[in-house]
Amino acid sequence: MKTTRRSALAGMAALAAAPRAFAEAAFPDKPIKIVVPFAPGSATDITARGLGGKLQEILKQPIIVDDKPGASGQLGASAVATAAGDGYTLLMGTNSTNAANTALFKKLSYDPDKDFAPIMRCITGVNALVVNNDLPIKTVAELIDYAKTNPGKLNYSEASASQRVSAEMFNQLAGVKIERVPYKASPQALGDVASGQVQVMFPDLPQALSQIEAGRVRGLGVTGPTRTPVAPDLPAIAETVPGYSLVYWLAVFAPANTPQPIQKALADAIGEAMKDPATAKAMTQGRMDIAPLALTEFAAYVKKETDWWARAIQAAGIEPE
Amino acid sequence: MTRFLTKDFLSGLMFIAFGLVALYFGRHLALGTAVRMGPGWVPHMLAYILLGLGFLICLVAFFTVGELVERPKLKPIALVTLGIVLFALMLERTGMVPALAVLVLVASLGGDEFKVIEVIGNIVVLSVLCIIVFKVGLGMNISVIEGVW
Amino acid sequence: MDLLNNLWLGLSVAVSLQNLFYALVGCMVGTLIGVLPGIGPVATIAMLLPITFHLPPTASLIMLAGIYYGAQYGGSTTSILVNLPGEASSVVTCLDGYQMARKGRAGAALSISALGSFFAGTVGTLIIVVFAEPLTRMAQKFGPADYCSLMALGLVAAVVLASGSVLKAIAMVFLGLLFGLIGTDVNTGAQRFTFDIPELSDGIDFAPIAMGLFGIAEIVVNLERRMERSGAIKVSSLWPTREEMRRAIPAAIRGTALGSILGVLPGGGPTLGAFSAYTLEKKLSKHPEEFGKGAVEGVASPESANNAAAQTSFIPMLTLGIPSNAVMALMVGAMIIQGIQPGPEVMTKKPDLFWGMIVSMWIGNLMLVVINLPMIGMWVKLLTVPYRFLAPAILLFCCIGAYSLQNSTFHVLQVGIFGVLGYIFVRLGCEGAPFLLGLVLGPQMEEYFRRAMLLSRGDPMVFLQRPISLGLLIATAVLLILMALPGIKKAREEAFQEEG
Repeated sequence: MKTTRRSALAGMAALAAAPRAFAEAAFPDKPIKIVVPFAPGSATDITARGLGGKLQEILKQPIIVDDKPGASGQLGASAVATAAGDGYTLLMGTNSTNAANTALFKKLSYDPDKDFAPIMRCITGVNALVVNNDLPIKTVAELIDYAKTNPGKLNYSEASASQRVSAEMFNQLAGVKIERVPYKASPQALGDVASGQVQVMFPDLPQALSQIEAGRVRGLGVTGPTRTPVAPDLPAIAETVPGYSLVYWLAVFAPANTPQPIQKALADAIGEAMKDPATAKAMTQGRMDIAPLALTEFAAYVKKETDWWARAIQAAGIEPE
Repeated sequence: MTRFLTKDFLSGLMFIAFGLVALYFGRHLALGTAVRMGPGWVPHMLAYILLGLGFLICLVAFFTVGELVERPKLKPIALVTLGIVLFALMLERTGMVPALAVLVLVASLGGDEFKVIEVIGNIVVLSVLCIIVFKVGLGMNISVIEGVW
Repeated sequence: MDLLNNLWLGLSVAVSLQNLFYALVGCMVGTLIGVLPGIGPVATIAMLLPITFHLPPTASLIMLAGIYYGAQYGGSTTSILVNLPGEASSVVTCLDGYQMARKGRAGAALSISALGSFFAGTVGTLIIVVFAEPLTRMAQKFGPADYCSLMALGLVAAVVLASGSVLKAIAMVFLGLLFGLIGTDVNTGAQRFTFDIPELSDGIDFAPIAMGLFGIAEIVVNLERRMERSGAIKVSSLWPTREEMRRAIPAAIRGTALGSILGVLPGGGPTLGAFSAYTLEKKLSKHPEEFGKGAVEGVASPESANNAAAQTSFIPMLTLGIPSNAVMALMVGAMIIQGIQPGPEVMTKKPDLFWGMIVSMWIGNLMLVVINLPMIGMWVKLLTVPYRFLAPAILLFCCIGAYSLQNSTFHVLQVGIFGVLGYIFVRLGCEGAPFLLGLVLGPQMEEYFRRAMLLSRGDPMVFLQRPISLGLLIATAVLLILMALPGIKKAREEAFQEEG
């Protein structure tokens, strides 16, 4: 009933208003494409597909998830940045594409600040701190002691900028020096912690939990400012190392020139979809947090995050390429 | 002169050329040290090895009787490549079917037996097949004719 | 007896009507995408993942696994028929499979490949059941230095793939290594040979290169030969002769053994398996000169090896929850979405799922043989289609397949560029297979080499101190010497003849 009345009202408003307004009121009248700037099967891809299913029901139009991976998300993000601002092409962006990349690359193929209209933050997640099982280390404090008494013994593996920033920030704030060993793929990097080739890693929590629960690596903490309800047993690193905090997020963006009413309609629909528990579970795999934050509030958040990542990346000693 | 037109001598030259290209475009890459190997260490090493092998291959070719290189025909390779490039440029702008038609047409021109009816028939059959397999069957995000379907 | 009980439990799960249905769907979809060049299991499984939310966990995993093997089977089909390897692991099949097809033995090559794969799949499944634990422990002992030495062995073996000049084959391996460097350097993030094109920063994909070097170059060469191929292939019997079977069987067994072991190692398992199996056969054979010209062993052995490796690459995922390739990563994703934590706990907590899946793997392999054997006749008929129809169709499927990799037209352009390069290679008598192996293994080798050096704090002795690495390096050296001896002798003889 509710939807019928709403569309009836919209219809009347449209009749009274200019043709342009009519087009907006009728939004959406064709399939919507969500571009995922990372590979099929990545967390971003799974989140977009999880959201797409419910969004399709709500908006009554097919949602197409289009993976355009490559160049740390640059290819997918630029595709959306240059798309028509009509609400039919959206980006499932992340803290990489829409905040950190500014500081990671000398030259980006898009402008994260000017090319996008932030619609809705969907998910926040944290990295976990894990160590090899054979080490006599059970807590964050013990890790710091061990690193101080055994200099040059510990290595950390990383396969992404967020993992590297997590580790270097830890090195800095805890006053230790764990050596970096770069990897191309996260599962391999974590596997080498389990088998003892390297000792420490900061993998994302969904990935880490599966190994921690199976007892193949030891979880010491999470990178968020506080504990997360997803893994209440893991203390926040900040409890031992004050001031330590790193959170990543996944969010929907539209091209910058998308009309306000369409932005609002999209934010409303996405917000409603995420209220559905099954959708929320499909999006987070039960291992991240649903954290809706819409439109202007989210835009302010993105600004703050861009500054934060720029500072963190610089402090971690990562040179822009 | 024929000594220089053998397959072996020319492939030696090709390896040398690739080595030189790699050295030129890799010149700004830092070499680093054995512990902290820079991004340029391996490219430089590979480039020098290719140069060395290239010279060796040329040398051996010069002193042995080698197979002469066949005179290339430019039409097939040029038209096939042109067809692929046109397909790439058209696919996202015009949709699958027009791009497909151009590719099949241009590629068919590259052969010797060109009959208009056959090519049209081929285009029709392949269009139907591709729509069924890629669009309907696998649900790929390709438009059949841009803006229409 | 436990084992038999478990297998019985698995069988009772797997033969339920619903699960059989999903296995069949998976195998059919897999065969289809395997036959289409470029469209791989990764993209397909990712697209189908949301559908699996609504299926019971066992059924969804059975279907996804079916797609994975189906793609393996289908990939061999195009390698043999039109010289188009679907993925790195079927490059080797092209070498002799396509030559067999040109001699009118396409049917025999296809059926040997299908039967060899089925045999390897059966053995691989049994190995998962019996040896999953010890094999996992073996894989975990492999450190970066060991991997690096393994890759070195693989690269030296690549030279054996060539049927022509050894020197040129070595140069092709190095050229492949050089092309493999294109992209972002993992350690420093520096861009190497990317020419400021963002699409190149992740390196060049294997598929467009394989399509260009093998498929497109072959089409162009055939077009030049004034269509002499149109209807030229006489198709003799679809089935292998007794003699062919006699040669194929031992090769399939050796390939299976090699593939099963290498499959457990993450990264390039099936590829290394197929390449080393081929090398082994060529070295063992009494007729090494037949290789590259349609030797049956050259089809049977790598086809068995890559399928065995495809099976055993499930082991790290099942025992450790660590995916060894992109398809496995998606399977892990599918399990997590269903609320199942991959790892050894699955075996104890959800025995019906675990054993059901294992038995379905075997049933999937059986289904594929049943689906594929009758289709051989159809595939072979396809070869009698005049080339002027077939050539544009192959071109088209390559282009669409390349596009589908990342939904990017840049990949289609790559097919064109590598087509030209492949054509030059053919004209100059340089072989593509060593180039491709260099390209696939090179980046991994550099990554492992630099990681080993980082972990040893710059001490190169680490490669000699680790027993596994030392053993592999010795094997590499022996292979090098074996290869160099006849080569040097021959070159000297030729030089003398020239002067005389």
